Amino acid sequence: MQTHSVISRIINFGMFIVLANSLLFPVNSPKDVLEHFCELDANGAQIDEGRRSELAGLFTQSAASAPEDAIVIKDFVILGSTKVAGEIDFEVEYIYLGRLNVATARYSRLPATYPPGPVKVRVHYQLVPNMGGPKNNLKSEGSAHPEPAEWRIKGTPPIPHITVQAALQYVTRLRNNSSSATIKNNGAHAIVALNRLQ
Amino acid sequence: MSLCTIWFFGPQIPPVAPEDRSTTAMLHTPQIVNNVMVLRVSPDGSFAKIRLNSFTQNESCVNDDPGPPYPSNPFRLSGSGYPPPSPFPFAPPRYNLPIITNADQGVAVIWPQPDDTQLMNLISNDSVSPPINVPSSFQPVLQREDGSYIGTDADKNLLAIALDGTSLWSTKINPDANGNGTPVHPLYATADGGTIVTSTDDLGNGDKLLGTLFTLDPSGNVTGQTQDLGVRPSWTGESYSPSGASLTSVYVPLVYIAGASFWPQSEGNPSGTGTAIVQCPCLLQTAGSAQGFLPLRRRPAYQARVRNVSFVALQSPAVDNKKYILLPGDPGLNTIDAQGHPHNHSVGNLFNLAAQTKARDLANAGAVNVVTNRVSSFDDFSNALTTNGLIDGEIMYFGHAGVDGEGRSALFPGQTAGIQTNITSVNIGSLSNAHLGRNVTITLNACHAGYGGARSVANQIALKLNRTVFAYPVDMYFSSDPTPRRFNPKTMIAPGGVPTYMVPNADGMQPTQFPLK
Repeated sequence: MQTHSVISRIINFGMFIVLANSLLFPVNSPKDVLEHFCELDANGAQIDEGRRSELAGLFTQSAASAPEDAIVIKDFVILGSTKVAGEIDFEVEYIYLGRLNVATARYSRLPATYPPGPVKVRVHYQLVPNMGGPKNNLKSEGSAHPEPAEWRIKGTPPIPHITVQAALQYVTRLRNNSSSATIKNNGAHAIVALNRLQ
Repeated sequence: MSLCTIWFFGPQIPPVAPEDRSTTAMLHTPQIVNNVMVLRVSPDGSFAKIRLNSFTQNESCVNDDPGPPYPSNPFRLSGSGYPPPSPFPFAPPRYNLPIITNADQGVAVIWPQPDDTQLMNLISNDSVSPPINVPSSFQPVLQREDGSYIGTDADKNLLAIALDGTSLWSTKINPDANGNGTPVHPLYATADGGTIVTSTDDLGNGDKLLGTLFTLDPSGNVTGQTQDLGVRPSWTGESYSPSGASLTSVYVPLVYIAGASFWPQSEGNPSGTGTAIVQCPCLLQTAGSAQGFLPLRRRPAYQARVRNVSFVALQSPAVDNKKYILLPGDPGLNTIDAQGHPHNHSVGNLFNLAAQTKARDLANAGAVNVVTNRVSSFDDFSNALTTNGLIDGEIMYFGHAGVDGEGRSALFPGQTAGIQTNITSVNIGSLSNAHLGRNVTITLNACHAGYGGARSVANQIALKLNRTVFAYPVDMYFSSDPTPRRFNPKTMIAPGGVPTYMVPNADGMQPTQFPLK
């Protein structure tokens, strides 16, 4: 009985140490990584050439090319995770509103396979441990941990999901900086349509 | 007054010589009369002391055991006092007698007797009924709509006792190998005459050791069990769990409390104030009484119903014995991003309210067999079709839907990750119609569940189950008016209670019938 009690105390103390460590040295959880990406994405990082480097190291594979289209979303919510064979599965629930052509600033309804927006869409993401590759840009602010644990999103970046606000900023900038009449015309229509969504 | 010698029979520490084990005292109160009274205080301050019984206890010094070293005139008690004799005969009564409401008629006092039996007295208008024998140590906690009490006893039995003292049933919950039951506390008398009890242990310092919720049918048979999350429903049906200094809303299956009972849950009402109140007065309403209430109306426990059943315009509907299954899904999540912006994808309690409204409407139409299953995954949905016996009425889903990342039409009953959270063409093939009657229909109250024609999740379910499915190709909103019309966010506000309907966002739209011809 006494031995059991001593062992139990040691285990409890060990659990306390583990807990204390996790509190003192926070690491970037898979959800942190995914949340960081979703925030960057929603704010237009994928469609802004100057900001695309912010996504470096968040995926196991780089994007093959710049995206042609972006989905305009109302917002997103990250659903709970499940662990499958060392990988962490997440679903991100978006509310799709429409589609924006990144090159031409043309705003249109969602592809015909989707109901007319707004529609709820759940996109699956898999987070995998980074086995010795280059570090991503995500730092755990205020952490004493010198090298945050590394998780990456499996595959290449999906189609961009940008908020209405980010879409408006992008279209406004594109229209103002372009000399193309088509882009200016598309941009004007897109701004009207996007403003209706706000 | 007489002089008595009190003898110390117990071991003395330090040891005392036998001849010194006595003391002499004057007997001042040769007779004690204990009156057991109930105090009634009315809201206007008037009161009455209502006598249940009197107990007379005589004290004397009787020389009935003169041999040494016993004293010649030992202290003796005769008769019976109340509370039952204790080592301190002059102490005041220490019993808090169990008193519980008896519908709107008064109260029942269930109290132990000096001979270890137990009696119940019904008090109404300050009059006391003749004593009624009830099982020893029975402690009432709930009153069912038929007037019977649900409670526990010292042997860990759960009992139902009728108003005439008859034991309707007695059971031990989850007994161990030695036959010892799990200690439980009754929580709710339910609308179908059943009971929900919990094995959660109140540690007495505000903390609780959470246990299991057990559901019992009207005859005391355990029909289900689930983990007790420690949440309790509010007056409006939402459930909350303590979270630090605040409360967190938790979505759990609805509890259909016996709405015509005045004490259907422990501590009387959702606030736990010990005040008796009928939570669904409409269940007691009748056009034949001046105040709209029958003076005393009790329903047989076997009459299955759901709460909030309106009798208005109900022209004696024929009893509908078909089985209906209502499937409210998870509400969705609300989150706050790193910039502090809220992302609100939760509909709160609205799916539950929509299911509750449907249950009410079915009951008003005569249905007596309505089952509500909360669904949070494909498995929950699938099991609801196969574990409820033969389903020959309707199946109605109230939940989220949309499209998954692969472009598949989907129902989203759950709010966690994982492919089994959603219902899509990936897993629809696992659904079974083995327990579905030939004419059963399935209605999907969910945004866009009927969008996409043959590709829609509604059509795929219809094909797999070989049953008719109804769904809408458009989004839906919540309204207290079931008329289909375009949603106007400026004038249409989500309801806060029953009735709540899920309405297609289109003027006059009727659901599409699947499978498509």
